[in-house]
Order: sequence, then C-alpha cells, then structure tokens
Amino acid sequence: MIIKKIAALVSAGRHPVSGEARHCRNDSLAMGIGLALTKKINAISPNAGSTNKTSLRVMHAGNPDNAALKDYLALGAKNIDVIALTAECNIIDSLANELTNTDLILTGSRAENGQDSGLVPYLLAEKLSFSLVANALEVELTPEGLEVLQFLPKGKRRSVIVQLPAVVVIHPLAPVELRHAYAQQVTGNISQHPSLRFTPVMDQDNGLQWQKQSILRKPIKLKARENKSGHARMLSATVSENKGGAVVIDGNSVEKAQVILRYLREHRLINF
Amino acid sequence: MQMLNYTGFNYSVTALFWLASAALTIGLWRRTQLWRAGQPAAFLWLNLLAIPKRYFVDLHHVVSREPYIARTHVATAGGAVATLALVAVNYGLMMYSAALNWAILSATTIMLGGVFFIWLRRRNAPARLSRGAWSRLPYTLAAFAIGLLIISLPVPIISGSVALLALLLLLAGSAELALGIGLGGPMKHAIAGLLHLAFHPRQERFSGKLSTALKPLMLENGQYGVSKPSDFKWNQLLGFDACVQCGKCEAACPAFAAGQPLNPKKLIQDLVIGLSNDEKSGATDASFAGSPYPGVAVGDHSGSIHAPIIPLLIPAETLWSCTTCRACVQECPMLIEHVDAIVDMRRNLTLTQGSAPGKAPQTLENLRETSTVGGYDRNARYHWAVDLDVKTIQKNSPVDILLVAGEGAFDMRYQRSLRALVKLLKAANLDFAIMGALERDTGDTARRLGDEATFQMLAKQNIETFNSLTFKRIVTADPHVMHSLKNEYPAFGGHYQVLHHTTLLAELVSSGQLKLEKSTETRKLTYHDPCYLGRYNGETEAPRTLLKSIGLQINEMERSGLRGRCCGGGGGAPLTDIPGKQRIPDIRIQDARSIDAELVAVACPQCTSMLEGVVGKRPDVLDIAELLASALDQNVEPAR
Repeated sequence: MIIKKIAALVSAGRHPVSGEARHCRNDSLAMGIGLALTKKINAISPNAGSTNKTSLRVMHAGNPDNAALKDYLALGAKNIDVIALTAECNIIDSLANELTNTDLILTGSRAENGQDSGLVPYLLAEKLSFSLVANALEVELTPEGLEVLQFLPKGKRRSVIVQLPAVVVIHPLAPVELRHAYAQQVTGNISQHPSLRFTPVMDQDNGLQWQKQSILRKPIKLKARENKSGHARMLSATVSENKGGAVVIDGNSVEKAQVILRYLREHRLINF
Repeated sequence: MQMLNYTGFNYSVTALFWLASAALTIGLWRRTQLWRAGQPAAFLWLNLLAIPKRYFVDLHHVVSREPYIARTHVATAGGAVATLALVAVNYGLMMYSAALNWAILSATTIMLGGVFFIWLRRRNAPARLSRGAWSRLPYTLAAFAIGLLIISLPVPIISGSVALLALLLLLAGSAELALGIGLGGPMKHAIAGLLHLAFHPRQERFSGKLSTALKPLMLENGQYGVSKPSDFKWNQLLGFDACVQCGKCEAACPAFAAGQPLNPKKLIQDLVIGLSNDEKSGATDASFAGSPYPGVAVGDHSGSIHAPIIPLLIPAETLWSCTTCRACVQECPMLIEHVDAIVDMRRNLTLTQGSAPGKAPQTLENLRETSTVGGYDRNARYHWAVDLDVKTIQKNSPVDILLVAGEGAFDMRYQRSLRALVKLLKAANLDFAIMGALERDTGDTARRLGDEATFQMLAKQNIETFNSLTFKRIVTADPHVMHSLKNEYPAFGGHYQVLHHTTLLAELVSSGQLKLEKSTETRKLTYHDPCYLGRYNGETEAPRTLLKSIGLQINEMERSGLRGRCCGGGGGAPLTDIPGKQRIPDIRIQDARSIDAELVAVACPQCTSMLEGVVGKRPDVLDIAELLASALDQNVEPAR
C-alpha cells in the first residue's frame, strides 16, 4: 500500500477557563499521529526523491490570524495551510475542494468552539466518498491497507483495516506525546492557501442566528461532608486503613433501608 | 672539579625551569584555545588586577568555612607560589645566590608541611572528594618540594646520585605543575581558578552584592540555551575548568541526598569532558573517580565540544532533578555557577524540543493559556480575601503597598497564611491593596523549567500591569514571586521595590507600628529558611527577629540560614518529579525531627506544601504570619 499525501485538519480551540485562544488538543493528537506516520514511512525508504516522499499537510479553514494556530506550529507543524474563511462560510466545500487528491485525512473527534460541530469528518468523507474510521487510537500502514486500532469502551480495542483514501477520526485518548517547543513556533509558517479558485459558499444554517444559553447545573451527588484535616486526608490516601462506613448484610429490606436513612439524617443530607 | 659539577648542576636546574616554563606556556595556550571555543562574553582585561583581592577575600571566605583545608591550602599554595617565584629569580635568571637558596629552602618546607596535611586527609578522605588523579597530587607535589629542598640545601651536593635523585623528583613535580595544566591534570585548577575570578560571568558577586537573577535569553536572536558545550559562554567553560572536585556541592545537593540522578560535581566534570575533547577523541566519563549520579553507571557517557550534551554526555533526568536551590553555588570554593549551567541546558531542551518531563508540560501550557500554574481562573485568585474587606487596587487610585499573593493563593492551606498576613497588615493600619484579577503568574516556574519564552511573555504583561498602577512597594509572601519581581524583572524594564512579608513585618514591629504580645506557643520551634529568601535574597534575619519578638526561641536545624537545606519545592522539581530513593522534604523534616522540633516555622508557600506533604508523624508547619497573627494584641485592633 502506498500513501503519498496525508492531511491533518486542525481547528481553533479556546481555553475553557480563561478563554484564551489555543490549540484543540484532540486535533493536535491527530496532527501528532500524522507527523509520526509520515516520519515512519519516510524512514523506511530514505532514498526516495522529494516527489516520492510522503508529505503531511496541516490544514485549517477559518481565520488565518487566529492565535491558536501558533500552537500547532510549536507542536511540530512546519507549515499550516489556511483556507481563509469567515464564520458564515461553509467549510466543507472548501476543504473538500482542497483535499480531493489526498490519501488520508486525519481529524480530531470533538470540537471546542463556535460552530465546530464535530461533524466535519463525516460530512467531508461523504462529500469526497472516502471511507471513515472513528475513535482511532493508533494508525499504521500495512501491505493490506491502513490498520487502525479503535477505541471501545471499558478498555476494549478493535483493530480494523481500511482501504485508502480514508478519513480517520482520532480519539481524544490516543497515546500521542505532544511536545510544545517555542523554537518550532518561530520557524513554522502559516500560509494562506492561494489555490482557492471558487467563492466560499455561505452557510445556509447561519450560525449567527443561534441563541446562546448557559449550561444547566448538573445534579450534585449527595455526599457526607468530611471533617478531616488535610493531614488526616493525606494519611487515609497513603496509608491503607479502614475508610469507615458499614456493610449491612443481615436483616430485611426495611431494616437495611433504615440504616441508610439513619446515615443520611446523621449527615444532614435529608431533612425528614 | 667539584665546583664545576656544582655549576653544571645549577645549569641543569635552570634548563629544567625554562623547559617547564615553555611546557606551561604551550599547555596554557592549548587550554585557552579550549575555552575560546565557547560563545563570546563581555569581559575586562583590567579585572586581572582584581584577582588577588577576589582570591584572598571572596574565595577565601568560602574556603575558610572548612578551616583545616583552608590552612593546608594556604601553606601548600603559598609555599608553592613563593618557591616558584624564588626559583624563577635564582635559577631562571641564573643568579645562584646562597641567600635566595635559603629562602627557597624555607618556602619549600612550608609547602611540604601543607602537602603532608593534604596527604594525611587523603588517607581518610570524605566520600565527596574525588580520587583518581587527585590522589596522585600529594605525591607529585611532595616530589617537587623535596626535590627543591635537596637542591637548595646549603651544603653542596657532592654525591651524584643524590643530585640525580633530586633532579628526578623535581622533574616529576614539574611535570605535574607544567604539563599537568596543559593536559587537564588537577593543577589546572590553579590557572583556571584564578582566571575564573577575573572573568567570572557574575561580576557583581565580587562587589559584595548577591547575584542570583538568571540572565535573559535574546529569543529574537535565536538564542535557545545550550545544546553543546561550545554553546556556553567562554567564561562559563573557564569556570567549569576551575573545578577542584572537592565535592562540597555534592554534599550540599538535596537531589543527590535524595538519591535522584544528580551530582553537581559530576555535572561540572562531564562538561569539562565536553569542553576538552573533540569529536575524534571519543572521550568517556570512565576516568571520573568520584561519586556518580545516583543510579547512573559511570563510563557510559561520552561527549565532545560540538556534540549534543543531552543525552550523550549527561542524562536529561540529571538536569530535571535540580531544585535550583543554589546550595551548590553557595558551597563552591571556586565560585562556579552550577544552576546557571543547568538552566541553560534546560532552556535548550524546553525551547527546542519541548521535552520537560512529568507535569511540567501541563504547567507550562497552563501558564501560557491561563497565566496561572494550576490552570485556574485568574478572577478566583483572591477569593480567600472576599470577607476580609480588603481593597483591590484600581488604576488611578494610589496605595502604599501592593500585596501580590502568587500561586499560593489558590491553595487552601496557604490561604490561611495569606489571611493571617492581611490581618497583620490591617492591624498595622497600612494602606494596602490586593492585585485582584490583574495578577498574572510571575513566570518563575516557567523560567526555572527553561521556558524563557513563556517567562518573558508573562514578565512583559506583568510589567505593563504594574506600570499602569500606582503603588510605592510590592509585598509578597512568596519568595519565588519576590525573586522574580525584584531581581529578574529589572532586565525587562520593571524596577520595583519588592519586600518579603517577613521583612515588612520586621520593619513594622521594630518601628512599633505593629504591636504584638508574647506568643502562647509552647512547642519546640525551628525555622526553615526558604532558598529563594535566604540564598537568593540574603534575608535570613527578619524571620528570626520576628519570631524572637513574640518570645519564641528558635532551635536551629543542622543546616540553616544561607546554608539551609532545600524543601524540594523549587525549580519545578515537584513537577518534573524525577524518582529517587527518598523525597527531599522527608529529609528536611528529618532534620527537624532530629532536634525534636514540634513546630516548623516557614515563610514560603512552596515550603509549606512540601513540608506538610510529609506523611507520618511530623512537626506542625506554620507560616510566620500565622504565628504572628495569633500573637496580635486583641485589645488594640479588632481583627476582622
């Protein structure tokens, strides 16, 4: 199996607390997998000419001046191709137009910001008629095709082989070590992509009409307050000892319920 | 006939003298070529004249902490220098005067006496001393002294064999002195050490000032720290070459004591291997004859002047074990700057590879994205003060004192100390304000971890904020914040008067503005000096004065004041968290236990959390502000 062109799609993230522009971690993982895969393939055939080398193209559709893009440079992107679009534009058509000849498209699975819906990989795969694998943890090139290790709940994993061209959606828990290096941020380059030959399509579902509301408060788990000192908490975390509580095995259901009620009343978690 | 023999003998000593001088000159030239491989650094030739003062005052001040070896060295080196000078006149200039021979005789006797005591100590040497070539030194020096002693005897040497013996001894000794310097033998310390005093990278140290601020990197010029030995400044290389392998740094290093893979002496020696070899020589650290990095075998690492230091010459874990406590620098008799070298190498790892281990990358990301170490909301930094009725500083409303809380403000434990401090400031009726959401982290942790880019970003933002506010002094309870603001921000244009809270409180107590009663505390108390307050800022007295002012007696631990042992919390060491045999705070609490202290007074949020993190039965840890607040005169000022 030969793979020439790999693309990693990166989006602009925001810090959940400070709101500062930053990389979207999941997208960085996708880019990291792309960088490692490219390096590995090129290491196998080091004498290939520059035209035969596998290349990774890091792409972003949106504002080329977004400060978040610098993070991707620091994390190892030599160059970021930006399709300059405003918020009202539909990015799928522009991206599909640019990525037609790509063998493998890597994306993150969760969006952080604005209209980023998390649907981009699916819409893109549909538009380009590529295969799609979601929840990918590891990606490896084999003679049969692209071998993808998928995340399944409860520690299960599944290995699938996918034929190229394909869109692979990277899971947030993919084991990639991200290394942020300032020197790479300085030497890296953000270039607006010149080959945009058509007018961007306006999004029909115009995001500007969306209404925003604050999230609903999550239900709070009833839990007895601990009145232990910090030192005592440290001890109970480091020294194995009885953490308190009682296991009620004897008695009928009413008696057992009485024990629970007594506990809740004792800790003032209910008042009846 | 005998007269002629005697003259011939004199001529041979003269020949030997000039031969050795030539060898020394060539060797010295070779050595200077090695140092010159480093980067350019500003220096003054005039400083060569300052060497005697710097030697007898600044250097001797450190050496004399160990009187035995100080006296021994005075005898040996003083005797040797006098001998060499006299030989140069008497034999070099072919005077052959009997009177000068008498002088040579007495100088060599003094030298021989010194050598005898060196030899005596070498027989039962402490583990910190290097062996190898250094074990040879008493013998070669003795050979030199005895050879000259025989030659300068007032009775003419008749027997040819005695003369021959004397010449052979002298030859062996001269080889150590003359060839040894060029070939990197132990005696190179004499020349490199003296030149290092003249061209030291921190000249301020010799004017009686503390010089502890790291030097800024010119990031815009592509300066990303040190990756190969030739990236060091030439005078740093010269400094490494001055090392005498006495191992005082090793004995003081908290990471070494905790069994983490760091030994400052070995680090400097590895850099010497790097600076004195080229690619072809393939030199390894196999000949190092001292304590290794704990848990790292000697002999597996090699380096050369233009080869990457990490990981070929020095393992990365070695650098990340350092707490930047400067105990090694404090102890070094050759005034070598170990911490600067470590941070220089860390800078390269962080800035070009982003390879800081453990929680460090997360912390650096937090600093970049939230301007806090823990990734907190900056608006939440002063939540602990919400019920204390404290002013938050506003633009255009001047205050006397700006209280900067630092990262400790997010820690529930340290908030108690900060509340106590606010209570004291209010009791003293001071005009002060907290910084509120305007405060960003000073970037101290980022800088120690080598992330100069993030530090400079935060420093510039903070300076902009400070310059938009009106205040007279900054007060902080965090010595790390203090060090950054006071010592490191001036390089970026931020000049402020910064006080540690203990300094301010001591001032208030002595002026009577803050009235305190005697403390009711009866437990046995000791005080733990924060490195960034003591060694970095020289403040060891104010905390002690304060404790005494409320009637508490301080029982000093084995290592205190400027030689205090680190808590393990500095330099990002708790973040990189390099495994060792034990934890540094456990060692420090053991110091307190061994004097039966029941209470440890601290003055730093890092020390508080490190020492309180020790499990098992241990002394209580209280900030000085807490102890003082409990001794406030309740009748004078209703503390809210």
